[in-house]
Amino acid sequence: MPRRSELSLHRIRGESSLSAHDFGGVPTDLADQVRDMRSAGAGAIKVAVMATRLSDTLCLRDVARDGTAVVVGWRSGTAVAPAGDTLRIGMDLRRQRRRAGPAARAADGLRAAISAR
Amino acid sequence: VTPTAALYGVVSTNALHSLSPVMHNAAYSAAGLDAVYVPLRAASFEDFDTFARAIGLQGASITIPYKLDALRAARRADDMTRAVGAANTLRSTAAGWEATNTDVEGFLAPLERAYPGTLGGVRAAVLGAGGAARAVVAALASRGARVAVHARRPEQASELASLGARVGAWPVPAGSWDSS
Repeated sequence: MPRRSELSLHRIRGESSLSAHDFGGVPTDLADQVRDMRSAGAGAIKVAVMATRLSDTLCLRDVARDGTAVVVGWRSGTAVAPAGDTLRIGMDLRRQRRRAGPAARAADGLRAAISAR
Repeated sequence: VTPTAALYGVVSTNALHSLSPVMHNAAYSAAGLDAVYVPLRAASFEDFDTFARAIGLQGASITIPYKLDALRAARRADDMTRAVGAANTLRSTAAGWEATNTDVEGFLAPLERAYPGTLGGVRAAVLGAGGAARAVVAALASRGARVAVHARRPEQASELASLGARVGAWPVPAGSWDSS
């Protein structure tokens, strides 16, 4: 059974914003959820999920690739993060940034590389 | 680093502790390579494999606990890596993963530089029987050392007999290791 995300509706400067949060994992129907949120006419979409496996980031990448959603791979445990025009990166990448300059540059480079694929 | 940079990484259950990204990215930068190397914390080897194929990873350093899985997943491996039974490096090819093990040479090179020509006949105790221990046993045995493997799981230690080791006691007895 697909995981159910917690949905929130906000209004920012007159534009509706839909957020979906799931801190227990990555919903198997995440792409469908995002499609439904877009169909509902949200001006902005945010998805925040708990990515516990490397392969979880692949579906996040697919969602973020469209460029109309903000995707947060929270505590994904890796410097790999989904990429899109509106990218946000979870806690572990911030830890990487604090740790070492080259690693931070590596993460930025990977972000660029993934977004180009 | 450009959007078409070659992707590499270090794979383990806790890759965030690794300093390999710092070293490799510094080397790429110094060599002028358009490449990037990142930590990849995988939940399983299959998790890594799925991710790597989808993202187009060109190669990876493999560490705990996936060295045996890496060799099993490889389409090709050199003789030493097959003999060791574990791989610490994977390279992506059109046919699939190509595996090698640099642990053997990585262990021997500094040891032989410090103690040239002295490994033959020496007694060596190896603690553990995982992927890295396999490489160390193979390295020491190749130089004629008499190797004992001390591991929590004796059946895993006995698997290293084919590399030229005997199974030592566990826990390692207190006192001089010369008698163990």
